[in-house]
Amino acid sequence: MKSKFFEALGGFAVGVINGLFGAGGGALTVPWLQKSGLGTKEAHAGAIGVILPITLLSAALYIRRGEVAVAEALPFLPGTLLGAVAGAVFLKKISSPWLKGLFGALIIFAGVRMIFG
Amino acid sequence: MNFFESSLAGFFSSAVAAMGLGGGGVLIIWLLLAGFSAASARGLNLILFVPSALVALVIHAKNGLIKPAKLLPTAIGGLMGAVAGVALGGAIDPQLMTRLFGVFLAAVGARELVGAFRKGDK
Repeated sequence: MKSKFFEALGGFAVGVINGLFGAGGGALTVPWLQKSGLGTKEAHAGAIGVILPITLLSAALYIRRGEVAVAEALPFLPGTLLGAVAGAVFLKKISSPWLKGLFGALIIFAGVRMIFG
Repeated sequence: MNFFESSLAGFFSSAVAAMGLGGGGVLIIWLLLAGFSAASARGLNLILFVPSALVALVIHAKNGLIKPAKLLPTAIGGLMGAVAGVALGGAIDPQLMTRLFGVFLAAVGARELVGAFRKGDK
């Protein structure tokens, strides 16, 4: 019970960050899930599931505020769906060390971008 | 942006997202370069994550990578946090927060990168 509360706390931090910045929560979710005991690939796959409801909430807010319309997303949809299949299949095939390394590099890049605007 | 370009942008950002690597940055940069407003870019990125995530999750579940029991506490906490985060919104200087978060992200990334090829990973 105690550890589940602790995990929820980490999730809470992720959600707050996502709410504040509109992104970035996912980057912290993966290491957090690994800390909770998941393997690398399970953490990456699971992070998607954790971020999804948060993103749905944010997307709904954006649409409601009129900042974007769903119709604008339609041209991107076919490519997006294909990409999701490709990425998911690739996740199963890639080795965990390479996945971790790639993730680390991408996160450093994102972090540096945020520091220097 | 023609359909081919949109498809390409959607494909790559979605593939990266389906691997749990983020992918948001990819699409947002692409959209900004194509002349979309910042709000549109962020909104489109959020909207497009939904179908991408759903498709990816189905495949991940089929591959046995989804462990609901382990994910639920974090996911529930995350949703509550998101509401709080949106509410906090403009309370802190955004530029400073972004810079601080950037430092934190870089540290997390470095830790991941350094630990990537160490033994004992599942």
